[in-house]
Amino acid sequence: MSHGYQFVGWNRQKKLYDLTLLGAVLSYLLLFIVGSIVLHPDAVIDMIILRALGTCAFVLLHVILAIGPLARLDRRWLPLLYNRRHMGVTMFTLALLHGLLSLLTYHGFGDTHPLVSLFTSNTRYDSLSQFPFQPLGFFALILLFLMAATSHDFWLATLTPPIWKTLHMGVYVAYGLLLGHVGFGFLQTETHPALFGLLAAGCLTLLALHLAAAGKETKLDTQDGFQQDGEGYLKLCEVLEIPNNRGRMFFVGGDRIAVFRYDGRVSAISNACQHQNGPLGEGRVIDGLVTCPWHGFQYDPATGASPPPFTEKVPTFNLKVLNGSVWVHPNPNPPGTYVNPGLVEEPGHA
Amino acid sequence: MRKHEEDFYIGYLSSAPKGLASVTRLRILILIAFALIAGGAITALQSKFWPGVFEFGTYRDFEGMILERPYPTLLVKRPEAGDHFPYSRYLLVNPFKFGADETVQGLNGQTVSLKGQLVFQDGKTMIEVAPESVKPLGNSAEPVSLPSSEWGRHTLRGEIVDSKCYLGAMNPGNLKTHKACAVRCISGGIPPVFLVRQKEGAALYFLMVDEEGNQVNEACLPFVAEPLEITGNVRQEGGMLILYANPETYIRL
Amino acid sequence: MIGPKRTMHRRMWWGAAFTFPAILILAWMGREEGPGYSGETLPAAAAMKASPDETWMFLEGAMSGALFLTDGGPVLELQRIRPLKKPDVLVYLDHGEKSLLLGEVGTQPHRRFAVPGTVDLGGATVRLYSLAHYETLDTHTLNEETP
Repeated sequence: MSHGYQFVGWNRQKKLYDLTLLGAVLSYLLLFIVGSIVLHPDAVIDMIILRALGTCAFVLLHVILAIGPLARLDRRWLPLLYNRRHMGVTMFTLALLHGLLSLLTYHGFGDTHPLVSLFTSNTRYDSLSQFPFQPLGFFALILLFLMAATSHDFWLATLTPPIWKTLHMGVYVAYGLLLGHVGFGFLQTETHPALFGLLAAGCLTLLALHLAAAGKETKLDTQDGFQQDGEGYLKLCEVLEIPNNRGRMFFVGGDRIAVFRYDGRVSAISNACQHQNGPLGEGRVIDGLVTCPWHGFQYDPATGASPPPFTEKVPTFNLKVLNGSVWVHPNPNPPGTYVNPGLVEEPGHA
Repeated sequence: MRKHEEDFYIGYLSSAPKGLASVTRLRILILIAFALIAGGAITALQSKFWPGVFEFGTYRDFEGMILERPYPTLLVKRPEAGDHFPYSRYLLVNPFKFGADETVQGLNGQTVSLKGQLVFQDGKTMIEVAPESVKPLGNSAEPVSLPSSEWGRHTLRGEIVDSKCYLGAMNPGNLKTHKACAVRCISGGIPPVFLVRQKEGAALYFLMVDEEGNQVNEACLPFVAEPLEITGNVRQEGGMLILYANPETYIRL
Repeated sequence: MIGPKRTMHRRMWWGAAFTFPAILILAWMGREEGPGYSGETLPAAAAMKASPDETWMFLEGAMSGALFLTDGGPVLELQRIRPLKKPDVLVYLDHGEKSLLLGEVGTQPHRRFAVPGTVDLGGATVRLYSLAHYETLDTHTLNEETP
C-alpha cells in the first residue's frame, strides 16, 4: 500500500502475528529436540536438529497452504491470511537451515564438492527405492528461496502482479517436490507406517480443503440467465438485496463484478483487488472507500481508484438503477474511470 | 450466520474486532496443537538409531602394529593373552570422509604410536587417526602371523555401509537417507563393510574385498545402501571377517 | 481480467489433485523391507544345556554372567542385554597374582568362554576390561567354594 517501500511495514497486528509464529516454531523445535534426546538416547544432536528443522518447515508449509482455502470457506480465518508472507519466509528460513546442514553433513568434508556430490552420489533415477530424494529437496529450496526473496510488495509491483503471482504459485510445485523428498527420503529410512500415514493425511487434508473451496467458488461462477436490455445492460439484482456499506459479487462476462451500496448510492467495480486479486465484493465500505478483506487496500467505488497518495486502480462498470433494480454493463471501463453512481432512490420514477 | 462472521478484519488497525479476535486466538491454539502433536508423533516414531559412539574431540594414545592390507588396521597388544591371539585389531581411518591408506603407506608390519579418536559399536572398534601423530617406534618386532580360518563359500544378504559412519560417526549410519554420505566416505577410502543381520544374534560385519583380496571402494559405489545378495568366500582373519567377492556378481534384491 | 487465470488455476489444481497422491503412491511402493535376515547359519555358539552353577549381573544389568561347571571343564557364559557402548571389551579371569585372557565380548550377544581346568576358580574374579579405554569396566568375584 505504500508508495515508498519500507522493509516491513510494522504494525501491532503484524507484531502479534510474528511473535505468535516465532513462539510456535520455537516450541516445536524444543519439543522435537528434547523429545528426541529423552526418547532416543542413542541419537546424536546433529541428526536431531536436522530432523527438527526439516519437519518443522514441512508442518509449517501445510499450515501455510491450508490458510488460503480455509479463508475462502470461512472468512474468520482471514486474520491468519493477512501476514501469511511472514510465515512463508519463516518456513523458508527453517528449510534453508535444514538444507545447509544436510549438505554439509552428508556431502561435505569428502573428496567431492558438496554441490557436485548432491547430484552425483546417487544417480538411481531408475529405481523407486533408491530414487535420489536430495535433489528434489534442493529444487524445492530454490523455489522457496525465490518466493521468500520476492515476498515484499516492492517485488510485487516491480515484477507486476501477474508474474509475481505465477512465481508464488510455485509453492505448489515446491510442495509436490517436498512430498517426493520426504516420501523417498526420510520415510524410506523411518518406516513406521504411521509416519507415512501422517504425510498422507496432511496431503489429503490440503487437497480436500482446496477442492471444497473450489466447489464453493464455482457456485458463484455458474450464475447465468441475467435479463438483458437493448443496450447490453444486465439486471443483476435488487438494490435492497445489497446490505448497506457492503457488496455483492456477480459472475458476468467471464469475470466477477462487485456491486456496492453506500451513502444512498450504488457502484460497480471489478471484484479483483489490484494488490493480490483479493475479493473486493467480500469487503466493506469504510469512510466511503471499498476496503479489501485481505490486506485492507482501499478504492473509491465511483472511480475504482485508491485515494492519494496510493496509485492502485481497478476497472469500473457502467451502472444504472431502474425501478429498484441494479443494471450493469459487462464491458469494463479502463481502471480509474469515473462512473456516475446509481442512486438507491431513483428520483421521479414511476 | 456463524459467530463473529460479520466482524471485518483490517490488519493495519491496531486491534482486531473483539469477537473475531477470540475466535482467531482459539483457532491459532488449535493449529499449534495440531503442529505439536504431529511433531511429537514424528519424534516418538523415529526408530533407526544405533548404539554407536564417536568420541569426537577426545584424543587417546595408541601403540601397535600397522597392517596395510586389505584396509589399514592397527594391531594392539592384549595383556596376559595366554594361548589366545594376543592382539586386538582396530580399523584405521583419516579425519572426515577419508581412509588412512596414505597415512600408513609403507608402514606395514611396523610398530607405531599414534593419537586418534575412537569410533565404536557393538564390539567393533575403529580409530580416526590424527595423521601427523603417526610415529614409527623403530622396535624390531617379530612378524605377526594372523590366525585365520576359512568359513567357506556363503550367500549373504545385507547392505553395504561405510564402516566409519556405521560404527558411530553418523546415526543412522546406514539406510536411504545416509546413502550419499556413505558413498562419499567409501569413495574417500573408508573401508566398505557388508552389514548382515542374522535372525539369532547380532549383526555381522564383513570387510569387503574382491576375489584377490584387493580393495573394492570404487567398484561397490553403485551398490551402497541397497539391499544386496553377495556370494563369496568368507574368511576370519586376525579377528575380522572378510568377504571375498567379485563386485560384478553383487545382486540387487 | 482474472477469469482466464482462474480457469488455468483450476486446471492446475486438478492436476495437483492427481499428481500429489501419485507421488505418495510411488513413495509407498518404493519402501523396501530391506535385505532381511541372512538365511545361512554361520558358525555360532551351540546351545548350552544344564543350569548354571553361579549367575550374576555386570554393568548395572547390561550384561549377565553365568558359570557352568561341565564335564569338559568350566565354561563362562556372558549374555549382553543392552548395548555396552564401550570399545573392545575383553574378558579376563584374575586368580591370585595372575590374570588370564578368556576372549573378547565381540559382536555377538551370547558368548561362551572355556576356562582352563588348571585354574583355581575359588575366589577368582571375572573382569571386563576395555582395551581401547585402558579401563576396567566391572568385575565379579566368584564364590570361594567354587572348585
